[in-house]
Amino acid sequence: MACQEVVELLNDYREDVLDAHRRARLDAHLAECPYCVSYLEQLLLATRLSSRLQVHDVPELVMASLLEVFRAR
Amino acid sequence: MTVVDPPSIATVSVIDAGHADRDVVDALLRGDEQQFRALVGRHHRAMVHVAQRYVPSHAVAEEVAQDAWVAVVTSLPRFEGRSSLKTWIFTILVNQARSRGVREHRSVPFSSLGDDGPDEAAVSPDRFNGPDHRWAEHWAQPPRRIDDLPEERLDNDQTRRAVEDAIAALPVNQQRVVWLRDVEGWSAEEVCAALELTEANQRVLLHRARAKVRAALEVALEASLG
Repeated sequence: MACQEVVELLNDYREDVLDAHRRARLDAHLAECPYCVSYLEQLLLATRLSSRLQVHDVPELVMASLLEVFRAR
Repeated sequence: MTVVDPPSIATVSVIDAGHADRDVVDALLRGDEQQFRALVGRHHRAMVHVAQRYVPSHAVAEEVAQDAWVAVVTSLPRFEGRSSLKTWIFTILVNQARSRGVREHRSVPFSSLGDDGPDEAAVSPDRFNGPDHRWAEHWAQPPRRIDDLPEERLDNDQTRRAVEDAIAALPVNQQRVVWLRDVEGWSAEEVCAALELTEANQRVLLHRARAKVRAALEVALEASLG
């Protein structure tokens, strides 16, 4: 398996939806390709940083009108 | 090295979540405004993202999300806990968004996935060796290893900004999926249900989105390393 194919499969690998054969080939590739491991680590870092973007701010005008609805229920 | 994401907490603690939901609903029924604020804060942005799948504009999606909250508040006494509170809220939202979309003459089907352009490579082909090379299709310009970098080089204002901007620049379908999966931490099943996507579509959109976010992150990492 070549790296160019690997990078297209790594998301399915992460999602654990590859069939056993492809998964085994990918495992074998990663075991001897530090570059693709680095690529995977960068992908995982991107997701980790994404999860820290979560913001819970709702515009105060929106919140105010929703609170009015809540009080009037 | 662990390469597969751990199972989401949501699937591990379904029973606890049920109790927590009941507590939240009871508090809301007593008129607890702090709980209501917290609940709106937790879900409102995701609701706008989901609603946009069904309606023609962000402004309408915002309206739909607010209308859904009104429906949530008035229906709350009838919440039975047969699904999680989150699932219940988003079911109400999707129903409202769908009927609003019909009124706005929006056809919702999968053709809209075509908006996201042709098949794209996760990594630019010129970073791999050409077909005549002994190591054809292997890395010519590999990504930098990051496991030797301290955490502050990986997670800082620049890298977070790069990720945030990359997500904001994504085509809408990719953006919605990666937002719900990676920012909000939803499961694939939850995303497929809320956005009416097949598993395969969800995966393709997520793959493309994550590849672009990684590419932007790589640029930011290189810049900070000089």
